[in-house]
Amino acid sequence: MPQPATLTVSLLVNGRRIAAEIDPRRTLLDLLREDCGLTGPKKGCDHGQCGACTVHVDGKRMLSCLKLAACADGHAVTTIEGIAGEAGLHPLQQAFIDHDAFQCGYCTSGQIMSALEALADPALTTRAQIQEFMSGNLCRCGAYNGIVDAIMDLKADAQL
Amino acid sequence: MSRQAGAGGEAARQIGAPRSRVDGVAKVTGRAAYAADHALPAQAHAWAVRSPVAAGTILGFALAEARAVAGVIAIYTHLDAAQTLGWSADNPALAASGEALGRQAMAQAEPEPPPFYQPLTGPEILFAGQWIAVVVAETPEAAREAALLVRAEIAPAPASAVLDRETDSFVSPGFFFGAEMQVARPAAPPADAVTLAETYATPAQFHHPMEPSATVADWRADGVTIHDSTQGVWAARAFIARSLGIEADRVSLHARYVGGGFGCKNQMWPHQALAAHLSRALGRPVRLQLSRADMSVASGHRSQTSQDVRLTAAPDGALQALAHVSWLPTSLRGNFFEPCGLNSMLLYATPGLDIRHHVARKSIPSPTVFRGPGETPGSFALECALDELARRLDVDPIALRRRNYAMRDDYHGRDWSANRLAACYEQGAAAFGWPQAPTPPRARREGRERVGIGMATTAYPAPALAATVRLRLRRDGPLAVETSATDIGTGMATILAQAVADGLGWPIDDIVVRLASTDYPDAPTAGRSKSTASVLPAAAEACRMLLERLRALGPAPAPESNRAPFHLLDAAGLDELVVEGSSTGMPPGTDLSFYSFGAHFVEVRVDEALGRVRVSRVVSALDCGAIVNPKTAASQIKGGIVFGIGMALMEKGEFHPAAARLVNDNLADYAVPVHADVPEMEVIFVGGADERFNAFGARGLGEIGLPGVAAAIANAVFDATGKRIRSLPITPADIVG
Amino acid sequence: MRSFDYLRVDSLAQALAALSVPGSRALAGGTTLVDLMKLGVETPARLVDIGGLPLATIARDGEALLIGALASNSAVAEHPAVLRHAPAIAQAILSGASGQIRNMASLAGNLMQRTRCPYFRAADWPCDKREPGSGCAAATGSTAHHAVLGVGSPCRAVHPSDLAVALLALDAEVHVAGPAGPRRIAMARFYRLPADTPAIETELAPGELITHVAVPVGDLAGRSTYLKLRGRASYEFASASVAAAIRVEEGVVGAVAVALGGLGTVPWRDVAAEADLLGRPLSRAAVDRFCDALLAPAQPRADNRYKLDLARGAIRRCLLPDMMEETA
Repeated sequence: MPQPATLTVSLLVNGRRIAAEIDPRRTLLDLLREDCGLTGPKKGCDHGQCGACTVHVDGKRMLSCLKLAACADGHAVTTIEGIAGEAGLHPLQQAFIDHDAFQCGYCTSGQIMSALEALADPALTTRAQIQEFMSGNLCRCGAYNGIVDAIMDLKADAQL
Repeated sequence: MSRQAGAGGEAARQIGAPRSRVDGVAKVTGRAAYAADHALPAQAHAWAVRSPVAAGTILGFALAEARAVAGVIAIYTHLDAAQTLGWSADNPALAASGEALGRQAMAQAEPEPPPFYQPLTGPEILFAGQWIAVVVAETPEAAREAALLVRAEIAPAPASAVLDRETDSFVSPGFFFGAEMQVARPAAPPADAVTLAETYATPAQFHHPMEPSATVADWRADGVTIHDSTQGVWAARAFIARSLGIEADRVSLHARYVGGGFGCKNQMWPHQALAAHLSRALGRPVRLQLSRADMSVASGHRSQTSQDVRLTAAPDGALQALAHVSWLPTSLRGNFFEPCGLNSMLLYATPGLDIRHHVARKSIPSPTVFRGPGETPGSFALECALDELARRLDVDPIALRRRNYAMRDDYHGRDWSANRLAACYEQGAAAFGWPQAPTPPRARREGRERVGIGMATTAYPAPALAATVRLRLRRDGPLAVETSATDIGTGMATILAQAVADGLGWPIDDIVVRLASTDYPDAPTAGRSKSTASVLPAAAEACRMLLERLRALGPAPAPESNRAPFHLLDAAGLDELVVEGSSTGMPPGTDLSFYSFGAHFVEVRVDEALGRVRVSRVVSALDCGAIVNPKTAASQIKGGIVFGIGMALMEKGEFHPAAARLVNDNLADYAVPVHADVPEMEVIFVGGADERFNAFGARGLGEIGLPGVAAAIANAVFDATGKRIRSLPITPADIVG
Repeated sequence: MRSFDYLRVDSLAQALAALSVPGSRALAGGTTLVDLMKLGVETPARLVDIGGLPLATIARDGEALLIGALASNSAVAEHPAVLRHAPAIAQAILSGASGQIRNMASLAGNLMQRTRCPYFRAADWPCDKREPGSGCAAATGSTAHHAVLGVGSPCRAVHPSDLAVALLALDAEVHVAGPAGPRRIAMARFYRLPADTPAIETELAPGELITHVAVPVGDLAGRSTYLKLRGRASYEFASASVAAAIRVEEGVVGAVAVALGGLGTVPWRDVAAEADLLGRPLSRAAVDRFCDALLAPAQPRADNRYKLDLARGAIRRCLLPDMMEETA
């Protein structure tokens, strides 16, 4: 069987230009993990059912396991590794620590990437709205209370 | 920076303080490296092929198409695995695997135990999902494509995966989980006794930690390095070394970050050894990560249960007899079964006791331990039955439980080391607002929703095993705490830092905790809620030893000096001081029963027209002895409650009746709770150190959050709707039907 | 996943030309296609990435709302014109999938998503829809989550889209482009019943591509709602769902539209039953008679009969004021 044709993709990952020669089947998740060494996004199900692979593409949260890397060509991707500032943790990262919003930590990068979009959405104000908004990110350890607390905490800060 | 080892009492006490996790930054930045995050040069990728049929014989394989996929390195089946991988069914490691758990209990009922299951060692298919081939390729894409193209010719045979109490043949196993599985204590009930006899059922359930199990193996001439997703590194090392037929010290195994386990990473499973065999055969690193579908069939599950509970009580509610008979499957070759009757043996005072476990071999993958093994499904049956009895007698369910309060552990004939269950009832009921007197079902309605409340007791034993903790004090570095104990999300790293900070009077931020590696001293597998009580006493002992060594170096400089211990090292010309402290496990010479207790209080809202049940409030009050870290401890309890919500309302493994094959082997069809399912939960620790257990007075709390939750929810659903649902999960069909 | 060639196109003409080559499949958000390719269920020889085509506009055009095929589900759900003129569409979208998937998935991709029947989704179960002639594992298995309406012989795979149910209730039209030129297909006949050919799911001809969907704007659509029932509180496919709109004038039904999801092999509606409700005083009895007619063709099995009760409950909730819901 012939070698499959490869594709060249070029994208911005956490502000850095990445160019890679890839199998067309490579997902964005595997591109990040295997080619870029960014293992913050996790493979929890590989079928869009758990949210552990959540990253931002052009500022919107998406599931990197269901996105072909080829389709990310020319786009800007942000992973958990790219959200902390020069000064240290993003306030949401700190809020996750403060509210014990994780146990094993495996779903955490996906939770945080989803939660960032929640922070940016002024229409989300109630606990119930945030719970619904975050429901695509499973946490088997059951840290849901802490995650919502962390988001509500920052929402409250933003009101001040 | 302030370092005042041995200065004593200056730093704020860490034990008992709500500390944030010391590995929090690693987890919120994505830097925490889990097993499959390790990418080694020239690493190959392995992917397993599962049998779609549940029974039969493999007649042969057509592999040409799969082998032709670009990037495929090798495909192994039972036809060549022995020769090429040194992989056989005659493997001493199997006696230390998940397949062996329960072997002694089953052997008491079966004169000739079956041989252990090992995939890729024979043509026989024992259950649907059995691994029949493994593909190794240069990329994950190539491995997966080739796996789809592996063609097996299988002559199928009939199989059954679901229990049939009428036609299955059952055996009655012996001693398991510290208790006899067949217990009879006859008592003659009074003539006016009330009897309640019902059957309860729980379905097959899956652990589904967010991290699918993974093993990265790197075989070299001098040994093999393993990055593994396991709850026990020393056990995993022994298993893999025995499988490879090499000395254990040639296996170096690491599992610093584990993405949840809940029992499925407690025992040893074939993939852990297989990855090492593949690396040895291919001479390059191999990563084998289970797919989400594999997680249903290749690392254990909780089996279905069918349980008969018969309660006989005097009209005042005093139990006269408690019978709990469980009908359970295990696999054709495995041995684990759910010891559902464990809590029924001792949680309530009763003259008569009849606890039985009957086990049938079915064409299922081997079940295994799963958070609160036995207690979790068993408590569903027992605590629902008590609720039904309370309704029958028209007494408050808490009053009924208090009426039958076990003042001591009658089954083991021992006093409790400490038992504050009464405080759990009292404080939990107060915080929840439990009514003074029982109200009839369907009494409360708000808008379109019926509102109901329910409660249940939980209990779980408090074991402890020997462990060792090493402290490494260097002139040029932080104080290091080293032990092979794992932190699978429990908070072990954090409570160790707290214990050492207190033990030495050392600032917690200047302590690094190094865990879960065979480079560090032995500690037990995380499981059965024993790690805290095993590891912390070892840490305390290490602290005592380090202080002693420091004192031996000479008088400490002025206490106001931040560098006191370092001056001592300097003066003695030492670069570092290393001590290892060990614990002994259960307190020696005591004849006590060590248990944790609790009570769950739940409110549900049911929209009957829409078949919708939502848990709207949970208060859980627990007696787990002294709490080392209220923050992480509460999180762990909440995690158990969330499992209970899933168990009560959604989780169910569905087997195809004709194919005897699991249908919902993924996270879309096997529903687990999402954010929107989970209300704000209140966790109360009633406190009280269990000083007869260990110096910290602390008992573990990994499991106790879960048993009883599903019963409390089912009892609340009855209160809301008048529908008594004895088979989990409670679905919309149950509500509208 | 089987190997494939990847081709990105920039114009509709290029897309249609590329899709005329056998074995080619259009790729937009990928949330269905990439998933099924990983499972070995979909094995296209070539993916034509249409993600860059200028088909994402959402606009009012006269008496219709035009929604571009490539508008993301999130964009549709948030759009002010959709919220105002067709709230059921926004509610349906927001009740489906997760935020991440809604950000990725396109409008047309939502309509073209494949069934969640577990036997379809694994290449090694018998499934006449996936592999005609292989049989149907659902025929002898649990069908608690399978269809009760529009059951084929024997396919009873549920159509999973929430959006399609709302579009059906709102009399939307699917606009397609293809080798034979553009044409419109009413939602009411866009999906095909499985009958004896469950593998053929829509009226789209080979090489055709959805360009946009037109939703008539009107008073009824503006008061539409969507109610979805399922076991867990979110991120789950429907056990039953209802898109409904009703106008009541002085206690009498003036206009009504009701479509069902989660029950049918296709989104389900019965306009004759709706017509029978017109002019009648709104009452629980009238709505129950409507439900009787709507659900008359159902072929439930013991394990999915509950879906009929759920559907009735949901329809009553959508059509009746609170006070009438519980009094027969």
